[in-house]
Amino acid sequence: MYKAKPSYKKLKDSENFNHFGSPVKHNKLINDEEINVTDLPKELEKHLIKVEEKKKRSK
Amino acid sequence: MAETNFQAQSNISLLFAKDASTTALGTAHDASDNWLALPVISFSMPHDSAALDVGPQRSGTHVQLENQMRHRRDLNTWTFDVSFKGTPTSILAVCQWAFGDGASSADFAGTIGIGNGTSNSSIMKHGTAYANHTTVVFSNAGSDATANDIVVKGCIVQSFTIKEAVGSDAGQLICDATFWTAYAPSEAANTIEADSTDTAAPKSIFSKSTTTFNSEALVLDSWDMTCSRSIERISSQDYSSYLPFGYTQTSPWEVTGTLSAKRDDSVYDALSVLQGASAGVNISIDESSGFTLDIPDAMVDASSINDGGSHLFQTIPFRATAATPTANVWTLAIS
Repeated sequence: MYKAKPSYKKLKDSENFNHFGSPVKHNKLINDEEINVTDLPKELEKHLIKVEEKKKRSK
Repeated sequence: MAETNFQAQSNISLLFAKDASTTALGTAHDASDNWLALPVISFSMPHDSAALDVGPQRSGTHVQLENQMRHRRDLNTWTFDVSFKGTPTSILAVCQWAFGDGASSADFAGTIGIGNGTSNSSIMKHGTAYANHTTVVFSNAGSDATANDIVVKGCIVQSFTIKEAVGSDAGQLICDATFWTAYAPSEAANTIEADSTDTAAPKSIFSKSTTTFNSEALVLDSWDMTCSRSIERISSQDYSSYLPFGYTQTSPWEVTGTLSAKRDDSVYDALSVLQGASAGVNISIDESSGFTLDIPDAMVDASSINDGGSHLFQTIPFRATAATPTANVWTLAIS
């Protein structure tokens, strides 16, 4: 799971997650929400912080 | 004299625009965007036409008059179907144009709405920039000798199915998508060329390493999952351009699917779930790497026995739900 650093919010649409195919992830990051990413684009690595994953609800 | 040009079906190729940033709804993507030549198997094509509305009949007249008629271009919407081989790029592209999350893991969350990125938004406005719509070019499909391409802008995916079966398509993952737009297709001489051609291998049912249903391991013969919703255009800005004010989603997303599994002890161990326990169970369909489909809260919908082959299969239709309004209905990690 990842959250946005302040620098992410300054990226242009041609540089943020809109460019990488996910307006949903982009808006979550802008709203300080966590996102689930399995293939983090290298260009975004320095703009995101890895956060500890929350425990999933057991069934 | 008859025109000499013609259109060979086999000569038509499709290009799909992936946003380099965002594009205003109603504007065609341009050369600065990322144009993909995806592995298309089959397709249908939209055409700019309108239904004829017949006005009231004049008393004492026994034929229909020209001035009774009205072409309802203000109501126009277009759909067309495209089937893709299920490569990571094609699957994630369809996810982007359907619900706005085309970066793995694609998370089909309770908050996705129409897919424009804003939680629970059900609208898209003409002229507002979004990253969840595409422009599709059908190269060589135009009927004019020189304006020989069809360009369709403002396209979003209304419904899509992903599926695999041991007995069809060599076990390859297939994605059937229905695209929807309220902007008229145009015929033009388009000069866009592919920025990238997707040549990756499609995912395969023969590569599936683990499939579990309520933690019971299943041997799958086939599976499919369909996500669909209703979309409507918002009126017409005027009665000359017939441009819509925008789009709105008018139904919730419905996610349904089917597992067909060898009928064995695992099926028996899941009997209480198959009987109907009014509770969601987890379905996981995984490859050892590069494909993890997780459906956390699937409700079985009238399971049955398929006795049409040499051995029995259990057919398990399901409806995927979200545990809460913000929870995921399903997630797909694909690479």
